[in-house]
Amino acid sequence: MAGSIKDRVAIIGMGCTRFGELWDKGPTDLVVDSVEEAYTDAGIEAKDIEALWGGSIFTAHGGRFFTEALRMQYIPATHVVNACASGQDAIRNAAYAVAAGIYDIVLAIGVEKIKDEGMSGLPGMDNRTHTHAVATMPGVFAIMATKYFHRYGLTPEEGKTMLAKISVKSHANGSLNPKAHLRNVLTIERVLNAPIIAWPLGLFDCCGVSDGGAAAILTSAERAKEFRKDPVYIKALQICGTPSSGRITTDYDYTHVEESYRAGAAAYREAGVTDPLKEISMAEVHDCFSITEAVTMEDLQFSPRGKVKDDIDAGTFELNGELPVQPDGGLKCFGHPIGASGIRMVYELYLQLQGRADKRQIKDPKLGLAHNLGHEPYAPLCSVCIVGL
Amino acid sequence: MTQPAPASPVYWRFNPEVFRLIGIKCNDCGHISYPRTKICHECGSLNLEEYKLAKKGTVHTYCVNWAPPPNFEPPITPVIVDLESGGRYQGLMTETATPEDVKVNSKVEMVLRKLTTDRGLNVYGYKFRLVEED
Repeated sequence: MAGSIKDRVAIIGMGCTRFGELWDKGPTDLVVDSVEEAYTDAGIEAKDIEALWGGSIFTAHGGRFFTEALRMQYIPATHVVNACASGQDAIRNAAYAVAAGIYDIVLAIGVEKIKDEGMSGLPGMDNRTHTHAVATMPGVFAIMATKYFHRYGLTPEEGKTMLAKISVKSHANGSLNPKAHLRNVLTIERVLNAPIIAWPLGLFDCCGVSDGGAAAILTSAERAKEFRKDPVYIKALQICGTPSSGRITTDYDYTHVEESYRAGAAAYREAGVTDPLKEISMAEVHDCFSITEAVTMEDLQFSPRGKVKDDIDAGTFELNGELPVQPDGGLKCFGHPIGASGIRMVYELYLQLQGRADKRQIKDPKLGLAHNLGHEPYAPLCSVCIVGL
Repeated sequence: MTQPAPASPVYWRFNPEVFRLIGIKCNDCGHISYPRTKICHECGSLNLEEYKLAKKGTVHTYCVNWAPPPNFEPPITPVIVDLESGGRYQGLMTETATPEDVKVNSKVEMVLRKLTTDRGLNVYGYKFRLVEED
């Protein structure tokens, strides 16, 4: 590869709505509320934005949705559709345009008004015909849990307890966050006794279903300090596409996600990270289900293969642990308004790096990592973004 | 994602794949893929031939889904089956007394069943049932 994004682009303003069942808010409200917060944070006005990229799966249909909501006056606007990585890919495209020297100040937005779609959970996206319609999102991740338990010799009780600790940790963090949808504190017993959605996953192994919006304003590293004393610099932006190998070959093991591993490895190279567990201060990963977070800890090289249980038991990923994961509560507590999630993750890293995370503040963080996993674990598209001071 | 109606062309196009279990085998590297691909996943070759899969296999992994897709009654037991012929099939179990009868590495075989009814039409396809170990 010829180039790297490291330290070439900075985030100078961000905004994020409260996530939840926002019956009284429409798609336009979510866009405007998050972007207005970002303008104020950056100290700029709408007229300063030169181009925008907006991530959304269900809510937007073309860039017009965003310029119309924001009453943007005749600027370039692109709708980014890239599964659960749509928000991070909006940041990626916006950052590349700044790095290329085309624009000085650009906007990346993510939004989803899930509760207008009449769904109580995200639909399987792989159901072209009924013969393949065995897949719901909880179902396709549940089969990972079954195989992970089997491969590493965990009884269902041991495996489910390991996963329960992930959800208990995320809710403890989310309970401290006024913008989280689900703010209740859980116990392991309550998680284990919850109704089964797709065995072995129960209700509290699944993330919420929520509306939300988030936005980021980017400029060049050279100009960043004109806007604020503490801009957050982009260190790596990687996306890994998939040949969908797990669907068609018997080689895929259902206990890891190759695309997460490769996106992570590429991002570490780009950011110059050689020891992820030591160098990454905090991570927001794609915990659509508890098993996804468990496997992602191994794919991102935070835990050795098959050993994430040891780190979970040791409290490594808790807010006061060695590597806090989902400091804001994660998808578990924010739900997954698809286009918004990737930018919501970066919003938390941004606040943490600037020392503005209030009761969730991690001591002196240097580098934060955000990860998304789109589609199914056997055929996903994964993104990793690393930001730092 | 809205599914096409059961009588639509996509079902006719999928007939060889769905009912005759036609996958592909690469003439260059021997790799077997199911569902069919246009390009060999392993080596990138376009020199592929049709390859009929076996109806028996082994459960690679599974779950018990109490919140299935529309038109299915809970619980369903989706299984990922590695077929004896090579190739991997994603399907549903049938004829189990309880979902707990299914395990990783259970031996299974395909049987033709009605999968569901959609917009007044029956939809047929293969399901798996447990077979006794040899």
